[in-house]
Amino acid sequence: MVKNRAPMRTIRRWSAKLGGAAVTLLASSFVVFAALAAAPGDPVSQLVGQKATAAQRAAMRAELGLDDPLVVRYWHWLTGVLHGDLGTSLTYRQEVSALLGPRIASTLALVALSALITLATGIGLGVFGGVNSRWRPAMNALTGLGVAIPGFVAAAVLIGVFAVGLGWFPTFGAGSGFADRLWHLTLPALALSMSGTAYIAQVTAAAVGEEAGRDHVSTAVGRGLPRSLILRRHVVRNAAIPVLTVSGLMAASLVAGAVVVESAFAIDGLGSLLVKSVISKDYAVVSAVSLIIVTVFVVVMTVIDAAQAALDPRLRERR
Amino acid sequence: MPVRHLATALLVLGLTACSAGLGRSSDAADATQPTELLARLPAAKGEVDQIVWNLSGEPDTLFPPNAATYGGGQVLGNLCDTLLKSDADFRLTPGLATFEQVDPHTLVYKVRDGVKFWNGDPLTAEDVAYSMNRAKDPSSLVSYIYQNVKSIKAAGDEVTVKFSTPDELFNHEMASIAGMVMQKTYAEQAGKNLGAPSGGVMCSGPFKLDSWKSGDSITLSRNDAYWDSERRALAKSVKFTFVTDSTALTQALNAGEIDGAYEISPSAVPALRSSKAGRLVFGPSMQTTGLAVARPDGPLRNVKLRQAFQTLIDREALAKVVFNGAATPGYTSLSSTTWPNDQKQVYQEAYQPFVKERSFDVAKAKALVAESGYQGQELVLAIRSGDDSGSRTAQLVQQQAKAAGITIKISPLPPLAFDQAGYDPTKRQGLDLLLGGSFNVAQDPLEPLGFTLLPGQAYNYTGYDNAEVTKLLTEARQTFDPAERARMIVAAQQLYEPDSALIPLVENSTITFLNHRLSGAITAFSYWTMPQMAFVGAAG
Repeated sequence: MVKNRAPMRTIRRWSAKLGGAAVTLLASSFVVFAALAAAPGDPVSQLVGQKATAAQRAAMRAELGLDDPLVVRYWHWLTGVLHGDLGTSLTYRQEVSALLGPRIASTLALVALSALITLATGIGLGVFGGVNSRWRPAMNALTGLGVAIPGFVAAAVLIGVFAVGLGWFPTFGAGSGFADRLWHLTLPALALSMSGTAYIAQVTAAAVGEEAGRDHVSTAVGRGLPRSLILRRHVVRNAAIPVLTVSGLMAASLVAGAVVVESAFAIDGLGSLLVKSVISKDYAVVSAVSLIIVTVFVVVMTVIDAAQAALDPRLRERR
Repeated sequence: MPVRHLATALLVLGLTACSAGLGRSSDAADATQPTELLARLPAAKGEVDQIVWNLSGEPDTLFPPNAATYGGGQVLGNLCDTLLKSDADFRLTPGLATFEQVDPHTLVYKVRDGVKFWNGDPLTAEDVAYSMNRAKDPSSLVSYIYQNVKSIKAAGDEVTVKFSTPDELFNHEMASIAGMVMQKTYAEQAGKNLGAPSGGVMCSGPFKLDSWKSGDSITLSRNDAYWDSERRALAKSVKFTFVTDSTALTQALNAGEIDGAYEISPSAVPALRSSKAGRLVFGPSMQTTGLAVARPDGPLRNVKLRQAFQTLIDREALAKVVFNGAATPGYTSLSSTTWPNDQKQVYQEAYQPFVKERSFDVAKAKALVAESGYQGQELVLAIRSGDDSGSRTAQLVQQQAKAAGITIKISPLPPLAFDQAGYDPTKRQGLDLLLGGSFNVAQDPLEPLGFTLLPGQAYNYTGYDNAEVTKLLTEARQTFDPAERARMIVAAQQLYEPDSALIPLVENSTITFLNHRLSGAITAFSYWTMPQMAFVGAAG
């Protein structure tokens, strides 16, 4: 009897999750839209030029529907998005989807590379530091420094040393084709992943250190089990839950952090597009980019939830 | 374009200014040596395969009448020919057409024979009339240039422009984006995509548009069948990049990854002046920076107080410290670079007394402040946020005003809000001064004056209304004899300048960087109305 109710519970849990995600997206998109509307400045000024007459401005406002109430404009945008139409950019006078296409590729490549660096290096360092307590102080100093360095400072140093000084890497741009792209994005990805890597290393080291000191681990050691098995099964697996949560959040925040690094390396990705569009009050573009960023967060959080449940049976039973 | 508030002109540069905030005032020490303005570099010696040139921002469109940004106009200058053509010194000669002012109300363009679009189709008067009518449409950014035009009609190889009011300025603007010619059939087929990355344009210039990868680059290739033998391109292709961050641009120029750039931020001057990769050049420009009195009321309604501002600012120091030498002092609202080449002397003679009267003199400013009855009210100076040079200029003005006994509060406005304050009086409430600039496209003093001095105009912030000035400026615009026109404008200047509704600060220079492997570049602001990349080629 009990077994039969499990699928129902799973469906209910997932539909609740999806519903929550939808509400998050809806609410955040409205907040973004309203915040932009509340910001000072008339987006029309850049479209008709400073020499336009009042009549020309009014005509442009009417054409773009900027005089409609906020809720009406939001509703137009929302119904458009639900029909797969992200709208038209005010500044570029192009479909938003056409603007996003090439930029998503740049940002995605940058974020993926950074995530790879962050996770591999961060977790690797953390496990090493957590297990080898002799190295802990050195590692703590190193990661403390890493966490404290902001992305734009890291970017400036990396460009100065490896691009301008040694000439090993290009100073700007996202490149085209796999190898060229990798070459262009190495320094930006390093700059972007630095503080995340250090943070994950700290969290991992702490979690691993804590698990390694637990009774069941001591028991396993006492039973003479192989060290690698203990590490894998009893230490890392248990330590994985907090690490996973932090890693997920870090990976998602890379998308937001890309804004700064993209501008330092002159990569025209989603981040720099977002900055430009906020300045020019380009509603459709700002909303679309924000939607993407929020979606990434929601998806990552959902995946973390699922992964935690897979790692820790207790979480499954309780819900 | 003319009298665009620095703000709008710099719209695309917003990010540049933002990130250029690392400029240090201690660098001013190396900026003290005088620099002579250079309009172009020595002619190139030969061809090159590719030039990589940075735009200060990605163009929002390549539809000529709306391409009023630095980047958009620059790219189009290489793609689309204009009715008149300008040289580096702003001298105008016939371009795609010869012209004849048949009578004050009628201007006839005769279209050049043998010109072909990139696709091989011949240029016709139909194409010219179509392009001009698109520019005249109220939705275009340059429609104000066509404000006195009644009709534009093609017949045979001629295009006849009829004016409702005679307008000498109109023809001078035909060397800019307002006089660019594109193919009619192509434009009609492209529809809404005309000028967008997906639609492009079809023109007859020395370069063809190869590709526009949104967010990445614009690539042009040489038009080997170009009609104008003097302006055939030396480079087989040009790749325009869109690096907006000043530091990133400096590094890319120093590393030789980018060959050249215009509109470099003054704060990047110290870092590029010593570059081993190339040379930094200051060239004549029609861009200026000044303080506009923002409203007819408030403490600055007192003319003595406005006049005090004219002498309390050390313009020499401003040009050196804030602009790192890439500017020269400006003493009248008309910049010396807008004086027509052939009438320079008339304007120069009228200008000299203002230089003397308005040179830096704190004691004189203090006396004027005392006479004005100023009670120490706080004056609000609005600047565009994120504009590094603007914010440093404002700080210097603030300090110097304090020395003369005037209290200034600097109020940075978000870019769009600042632009809006430029034309909307309700947004200027509570503001006393706007730090802005103007940028002429044609070498014609009437381009900016009409907007700031005639009653009822959007940029006449103080409600200036002088019947004699209105009469002189209106008549000047209908006067086709340049010498006579110069006399009228100078006479008007004598009347409006003492009113000091605008406190001129500096005449900005065009800052250009070019890699040592190249030469031939136009280094004056005239690059904006020329196929500037056609002249760039191998240095040796």
